[in-house]
Amino acid sequence: MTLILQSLLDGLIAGSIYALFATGLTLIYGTLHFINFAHGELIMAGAYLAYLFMIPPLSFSPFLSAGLAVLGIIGLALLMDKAVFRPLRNASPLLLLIASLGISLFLQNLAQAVWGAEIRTFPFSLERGLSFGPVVITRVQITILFVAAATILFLYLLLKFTRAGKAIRGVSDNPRLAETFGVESEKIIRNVWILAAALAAVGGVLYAADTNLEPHMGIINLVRAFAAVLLGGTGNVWGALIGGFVIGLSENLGVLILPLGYKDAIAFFIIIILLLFRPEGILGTRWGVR
Amino acid sequence: MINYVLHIVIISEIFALFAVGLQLQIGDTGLYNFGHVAFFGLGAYASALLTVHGVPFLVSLVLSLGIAGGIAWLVGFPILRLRGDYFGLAMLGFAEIMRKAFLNEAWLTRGPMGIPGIPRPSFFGFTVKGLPGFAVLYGGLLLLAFLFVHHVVRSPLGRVFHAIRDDEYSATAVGKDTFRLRRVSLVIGTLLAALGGVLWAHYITFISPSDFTLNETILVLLIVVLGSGWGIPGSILATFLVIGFQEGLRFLPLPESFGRIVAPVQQMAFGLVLILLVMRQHLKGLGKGEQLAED
Amino acid sequence: MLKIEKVSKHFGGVWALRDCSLETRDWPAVGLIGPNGSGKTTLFHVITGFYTPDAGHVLFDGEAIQSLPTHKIVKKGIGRTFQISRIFETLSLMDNLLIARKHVTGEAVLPLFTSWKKVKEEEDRAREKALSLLALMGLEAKKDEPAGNLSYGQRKLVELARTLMLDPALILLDEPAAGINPTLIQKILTVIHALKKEGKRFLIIEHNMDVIIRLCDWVFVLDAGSVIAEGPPDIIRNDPKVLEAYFGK
Repeated sequence: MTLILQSLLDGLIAGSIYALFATGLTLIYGTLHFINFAHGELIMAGAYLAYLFMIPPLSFSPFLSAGLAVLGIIGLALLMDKAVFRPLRNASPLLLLIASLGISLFLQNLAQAVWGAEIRTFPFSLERGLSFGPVVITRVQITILFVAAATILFLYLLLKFTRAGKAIRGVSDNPRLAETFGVESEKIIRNVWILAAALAAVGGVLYAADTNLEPHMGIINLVRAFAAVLLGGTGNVWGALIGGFVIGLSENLGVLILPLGYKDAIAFFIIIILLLFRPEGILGTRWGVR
Repeated sequence: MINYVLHIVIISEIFALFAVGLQLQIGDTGLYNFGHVAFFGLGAYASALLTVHGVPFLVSLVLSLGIAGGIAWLVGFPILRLRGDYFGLAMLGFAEIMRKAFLNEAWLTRGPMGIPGIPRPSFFGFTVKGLPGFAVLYGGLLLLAFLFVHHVVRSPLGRVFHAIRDDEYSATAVGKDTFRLRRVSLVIGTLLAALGGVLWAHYITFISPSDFTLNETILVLLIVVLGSGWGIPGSILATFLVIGFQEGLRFLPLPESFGRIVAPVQQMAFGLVLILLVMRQHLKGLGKGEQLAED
Repeated sequence: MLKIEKVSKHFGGVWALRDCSLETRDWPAVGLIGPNGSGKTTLFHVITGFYTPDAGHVLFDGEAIQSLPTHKIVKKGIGRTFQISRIFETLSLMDNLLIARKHVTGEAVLPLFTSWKKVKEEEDRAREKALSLLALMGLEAKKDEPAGNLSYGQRKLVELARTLMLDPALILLDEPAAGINPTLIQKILTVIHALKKEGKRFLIIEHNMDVIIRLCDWVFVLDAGSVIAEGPPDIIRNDPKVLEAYFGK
């Protein structure tokens, strides 16, 4: 029973981070209609950038480091779009996907060339956490939950009440609407990249705080995010948010039945099952005919 | 020096088999299989385990191809219902699950420790020793595979593959059972990948789960994209180029401090080349893969 | 020959077809008209098995085919063209036609190596037939060109020729005359008339009433997914119900 409660809590924390990854990815998918493999590397780069600011010689505070990392990743995402995705705006989703695989490979190995392949952790002391009965939560984890919740609230307000946010939601919910935006659409796309990159960077920093950093951390998180996107219905921001929590919980509860080594495979199982058994939501549009 | 060259040739021959399989799927049929490495790994693991437990090489080769082909055939039932990027992603998921299985089913695969001491290929009382022997044997098998695929691609079967690549919907409308045909392409490509995997295991003599990751998939994808437009010979040529670059750098007398970053820098270069190739729309021979989407 | 019995199909709450019934009886060429969105193309998709109807039956020569997959329906003798031609763009015209055959020995792996001779014979025979069809369309000079190079109208001809390769008993044409010049329309009309004489049957969606009158022996009018009127073309065009469907009250 304790084990289940602890797993629920861990799943909730992981889920809140995955929700950040997933909302960003679904915004990109909803507006640009391709699976951006490099989203995982935005997450990874966010974590490493924050790490760079936290360690000597800079030794900034964690919050300042995270803030700077977010700005850096926004820049990286905009650069990616300008250099690669923009020239391919009307290419087939498969070409875009392959290009994003190239970016992913490039950034992963850039990180490895700079920082090496070894696993690193943020320079916090891992102080013992608070206990609620038998369930333990660390201060870092409380901070994670708080930051994730604040980010989600911020995203909600942005999408709900600002003009730019409403435009994004409009395009993401209904691709056909994109056409009516015409010249505006490039501006919307830029805003989407900013938002997605910020979410990825915040999530990446939180993820690294909860676990650790290594150059190849992007891929598995991309996969989790994509599973969450499919769960929520592609392009659906709040669906992806809930999807993120579902993935976090199923991973942490799943290992109670499955061997621990398969934890990272759970998101893949979910993806395959979703792709196969949601014929209307996903396949329906694929088979659209004229 | 000659040994370096031979080593590069042998690795290229192995990867060429792997790449030709993917070229058939992506280039000729429009099946964007991002999980091709799973079958390379399955071939390698199956034959390694069989021969380590005393099964003769030739029997093991046939059995391993059968296992990999059979699994592709089964996996095809659910996953071939998908198309385009979704198909690719589901295959990628399958490949990652396979890798986790290699890693976690230690009772069978020894997990991360891998399988050492895989015997050299031997048949009819003759054991392949030395690099020239490998280069000739593997080259011969590559030639056979090339002739086989060449014959298939130029046959009515190959024509239907191309039709499916161009417009699957239309192929159905002229009476083609595209599900069966796509599965045939998947299985043929898989057999080639598995053959590559078997040859890899018996040449390197040690395999572990880290040999079969997404990076290997991206590497062959790069090869196929690089060779696209020139069909099967294009893939083979591109393999020698890419593998020559990758393996060749390893033997340059680089200073120790630089040695650590050689591999990542190489991969970065591959990433850049892949991006540039896509951007130059260098994909003449590649199917559009999205013909089914709404016009 | 073809009988549609109370077929319904809906997409997310919108009925594309609702209790749609029609029968082609012995008419050599039957027209299908109706305003945009009335369900004509959906009906074609249902007949050819791209969509499975939510209710109702499709009978072809008395046999229910509504739950068969497309490739089996095609093999039973129903061929079709698409509203916007779908040809194999990287394939040559010849290969486009050679694809369209019912039983091809060379489309499986083993026979490619064991019965190469039979494969070759089939190819030669099919090539001859394809050549004569391309000649019929006036496209034999372009037989080795990639189909992607063709003009809009020529694509329609290739698609029709490709359909004819299968010797279908019933041919479904989705707007054969739309968007092409009068000379090509004339060409298509001549071909269809010749085929009618050979005993082929047609079901034709077309907005051009002139074409309908010249080709069809009977016309069904679809509106909002149901048949609202039927009759000979020159009478049906003045039917008040039809005018209402097209132009409102």
